Amino acid sequence: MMTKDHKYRGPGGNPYLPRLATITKLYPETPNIISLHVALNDKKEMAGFSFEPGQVAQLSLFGAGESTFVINSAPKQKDYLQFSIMKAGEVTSAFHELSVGAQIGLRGPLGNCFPYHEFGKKNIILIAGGLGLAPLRPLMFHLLTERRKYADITLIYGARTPDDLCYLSDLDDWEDHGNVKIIRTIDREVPGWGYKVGFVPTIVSQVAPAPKNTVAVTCGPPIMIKFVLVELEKLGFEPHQIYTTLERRMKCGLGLCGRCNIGPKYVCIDGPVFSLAELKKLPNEM
Amino acid sequence: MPKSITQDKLADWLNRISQKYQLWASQEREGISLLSPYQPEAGFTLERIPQLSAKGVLFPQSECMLKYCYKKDPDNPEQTDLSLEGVEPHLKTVIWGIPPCDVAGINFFKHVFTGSGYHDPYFKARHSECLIVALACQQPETTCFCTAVGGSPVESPGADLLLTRIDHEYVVEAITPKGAELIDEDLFGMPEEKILKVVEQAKKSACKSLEAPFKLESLPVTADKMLKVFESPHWKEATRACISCGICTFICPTCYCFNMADEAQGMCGERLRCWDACMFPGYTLEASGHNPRLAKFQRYRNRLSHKFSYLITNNQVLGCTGCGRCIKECPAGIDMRRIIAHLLKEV
Amino acid sequence: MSELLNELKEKVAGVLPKVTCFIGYGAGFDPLRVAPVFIRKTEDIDRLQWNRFCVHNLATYLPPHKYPPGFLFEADEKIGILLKGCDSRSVVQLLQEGIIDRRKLVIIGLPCWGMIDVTKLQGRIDINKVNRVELDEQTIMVFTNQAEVSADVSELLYDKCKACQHPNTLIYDEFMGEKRELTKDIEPFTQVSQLEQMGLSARAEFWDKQFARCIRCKACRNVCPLCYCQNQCLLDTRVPHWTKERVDAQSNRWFHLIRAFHLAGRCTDCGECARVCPMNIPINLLPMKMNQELFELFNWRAGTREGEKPPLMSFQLEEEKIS
Ligand SMILES: Cc1cc2nc3c(=O)[nH]c(=O)nc-3n(C[C@H](O)[C@H](O)[C@H](O)COP(=O)(O)OP(=O)(O)OC[C@H]3O[C@@H](n4cnc5c(N)ncnc54)[C@H](O)[C@@H]3O)c2cc1C
Ligand code: SF4
Ligand code: SF4
Ligand code: SF4
Ligand code: SF4
Ligand code: SF4
Ligand code: FES
Repeated sequence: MMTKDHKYRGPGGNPYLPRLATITKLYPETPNIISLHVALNDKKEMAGFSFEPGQVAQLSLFGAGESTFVINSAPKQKDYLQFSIMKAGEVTSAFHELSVGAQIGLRGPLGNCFPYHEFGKKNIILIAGGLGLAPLRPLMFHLLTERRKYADITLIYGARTPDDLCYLSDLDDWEDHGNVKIIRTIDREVPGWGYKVGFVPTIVSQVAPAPKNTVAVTCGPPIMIKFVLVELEKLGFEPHQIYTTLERRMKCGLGLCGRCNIGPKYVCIDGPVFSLAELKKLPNEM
Repeated sequence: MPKSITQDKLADWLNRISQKYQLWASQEREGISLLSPYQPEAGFTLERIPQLSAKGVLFPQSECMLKYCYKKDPDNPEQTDLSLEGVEPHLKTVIWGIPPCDVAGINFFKHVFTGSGYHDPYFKARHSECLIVALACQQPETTCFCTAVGGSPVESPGADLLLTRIDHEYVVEAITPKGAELIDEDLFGMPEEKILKVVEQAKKSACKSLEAPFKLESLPVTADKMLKVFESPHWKEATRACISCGICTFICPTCYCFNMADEAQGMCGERLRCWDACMFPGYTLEASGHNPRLAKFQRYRNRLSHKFSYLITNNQVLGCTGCGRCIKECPAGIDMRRIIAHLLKEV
Repeated sequence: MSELLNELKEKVAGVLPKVTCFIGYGAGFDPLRVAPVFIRKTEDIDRLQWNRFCVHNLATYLPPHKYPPGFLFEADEKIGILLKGCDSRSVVQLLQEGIIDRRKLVIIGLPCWGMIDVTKLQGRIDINKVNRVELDEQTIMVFTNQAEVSADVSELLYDKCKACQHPNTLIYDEFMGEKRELTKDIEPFTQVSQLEQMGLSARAEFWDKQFARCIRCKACRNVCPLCYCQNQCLLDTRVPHWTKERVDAQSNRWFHLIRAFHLAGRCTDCGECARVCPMNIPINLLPMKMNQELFELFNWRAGTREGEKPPLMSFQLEEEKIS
């Protein structure tokens, strides 16, 4: 999918070295997620930076360390890259302490992308939970730039509570101007919530998208993905019609440090996007 | 033509090499033989294979990858600038007196760190300026099985020089022109014809003394078979005693996994890479608490499957040189030869 | 020895219906080594061995914190285990700490005459080339293809065995053989006292050299039956950042000293941490030093008196030796 030309070369040809970047905007997305706009300090590099939906970058906050995040801005956006960071451990917590102007490091783009060029003329159903919408966001932006190439686009998006839903204004925008059908859900009933209630996999089975001429793309917490895959297969989706992104503990992002493997595949270079057909060939070690 | 050097001149030879290169040779330290930077007063030993493999010379246990510094802008205290500096090692090195399985380990590193994917610039820089002097093994240890994994105790492709000991004499074969440059004429002589015959004889008997604990078919078939036994209950059976330590991976000439972590000192600091091991539970632990390889049998299975399957699929190499260190040093007596032999019989 | 082995097999045959697994010793990779075995079926009982190489402290497999249910044993499994005197001290200590459940344990005890430290043969013969061993009560003969050597067993014993004060299993459900009587009084902390005679700077140099060799493989910690913190261990956390990433003498010292403190009055002197160290670091001397302190302060030796409360798990308003 990604060819060798897309390798991250790094300053001086050292792929472990990040490029310097600045946080140009920072705002809370949910109570424990912030979104950042990041611009490479080198203007020319920023303008020349291109990535595909689904690709990630390694962000460094020196002293705390480096972590993997999906680039979730529109691929067309050339002024900055957007990331959303959930507070989890050392590095992510340190990012939550930053403010605009902070200097960080960025390595990327890394990893493969969604094979959207195979989606032409098809119905597309996107299924996301919580911050799992992040990798689907650039994909949606991309699909909408050439909206006419695709048939129906549906997004099933759930979170634990209404507060945990990300990118709310995008959702409205896609619904109003993008000809996208959006189904919102939360885990438990909350007063004033006018949409669906229930876990994402349950909603998938309720909505029951027809598998014919359709591809499904899902991303979210591992447990959600697991059950969504089950539901989709029950609905008659073939493994090659289903795509998901996987998470593994990562360090190098280059296929060298060893830790992110599932059998012979490395999530950092062979993923994070996998079709269910590909996953079925791998040892069962989720 | 092979040359030869007598035992009593080895120290002179090493002293000379150490003037031009950073020289690594085995030293006897507290009852173990350790590959160390050569110091004339500390001497050297060729008696046993080094406790740790030679990988640490080209892939040190802790290595600085970059240095960073945050600085407050004096004109604008709100603003903090960042500077970054890559660190690339450049050192002419000789690794002296290592067994062929350790040379094989370095050849293996070439595949994974400078193969078809991303290259590791640190290893590459070190490796490109490194010469290797191998020592043929004549009395393999009970844990050695290099011949079962495509190696030989007495040949050493990838080395620059090969030494074979006959009594008090070392016969030296130059494998590469660079290796030949290490041979200083005045210290070396021409071995007698009969010595060369003894060398041949000794090499043959060393090979014969090695029993193969298992028989591998072609690499792709091995890779395939090992994938087929992924669900075998034997993994769990055979690894109950494992204590999930880092011994088998750290001492292994091919285990290359590493961690990257920052070490700050005030506003500045460095990013280090340090050896890591797929046998540690924390290796795959995600921030959410999820761990895809929580059980030790899963981790052990990953270790052997990586070596005997995944690496073949991805890099067309086997990840084991048969040095036997992981068997010899395992605190729980886990013997990978038996496990591989058992598993291969299951398919 | 061989009578004891036969008796052991009979005993295990009797115990096996009551437990799901029996932990004992089986063959190792050469005649000088054994390895822990986990017996689940009657036909595997014949794999059991008992000889002068059975040094591993099998108690390390018991704390469920170390091996969460499902990953070595299931939560409800009842386990049988063979324990030497020193190993049984670990079990007593684990019981006192409330870590294991005595009701889920069937212990077979025996008298122990000391284990052979094969590394003490190194120098006389290459211990990694041994293909045959002949052993009786007093003498061991070891053969390689090139050489042979014979030695007195008593010389080759582990240091802990030379100083052993509890050669009989302390708590057990079944005991095999005759209890061994100790014939002379032994000072338990000789190794520590010897080190202390060295003087401060010589000692600092000694330890710096040891810590410089440490590769932080964590085997010493992982093999220890009392080190059951696992991912909460100071070595495995970055927040707080107790140990530096760089593996060097300085940060290794930090790790080992803190570990020794954590083992104060808990270490049962099984010596496993030193045995497993691939870099030959006598790392057990640090917890042993703490043990010496606790012995002098509280007359306490971990794991020797069933039912008592460890001094660092209790407190008194007035401590006799602390002011
Ligand atoms: C392909 C991919 C895309 C991701 N995209 C996003 C995103 O867009 N937004 C977001 O908030 N999070 C994302 N994550 C998860 C994010 O990388 C982890 O939450 C983060 O690394 C945790 O780091 P920490 O230092 O805070 O946690 P700690 O628990 O302190 O982890 C220490 C180190 O372990 C590694 N690590 C731990 N957990 C993970 C993990 N789940 N994945 C990868 N490395 C891990 C990191 O190198 C981290 O620095 C993504 C993960 C992957 C694999
Ligand atoms: S050396 Fe042995 S005990 Fe340690 S991790 Fe490897 S197999 Fe397990
Ligand atoms: S796996 Fe074991 S025998 Fe094979 S190379 Fe590594 S340490 Fe040596
Ligand atoms: S066996 Fe484990 S530690 Fe060794 S190279 Fe493979 S994944 Fe890394
Ligand atoms: S310390 Fe005592 S009980 Fe333990 S092995 Fe030695 S002699 Fe046996
Ligand atoms: S076993 Fe030895 S080398 Fe390993 S961490 Fe402990 S002291 Fe260090
Ligand atoms: S993150 Fe290093 S190999 Fe994938």
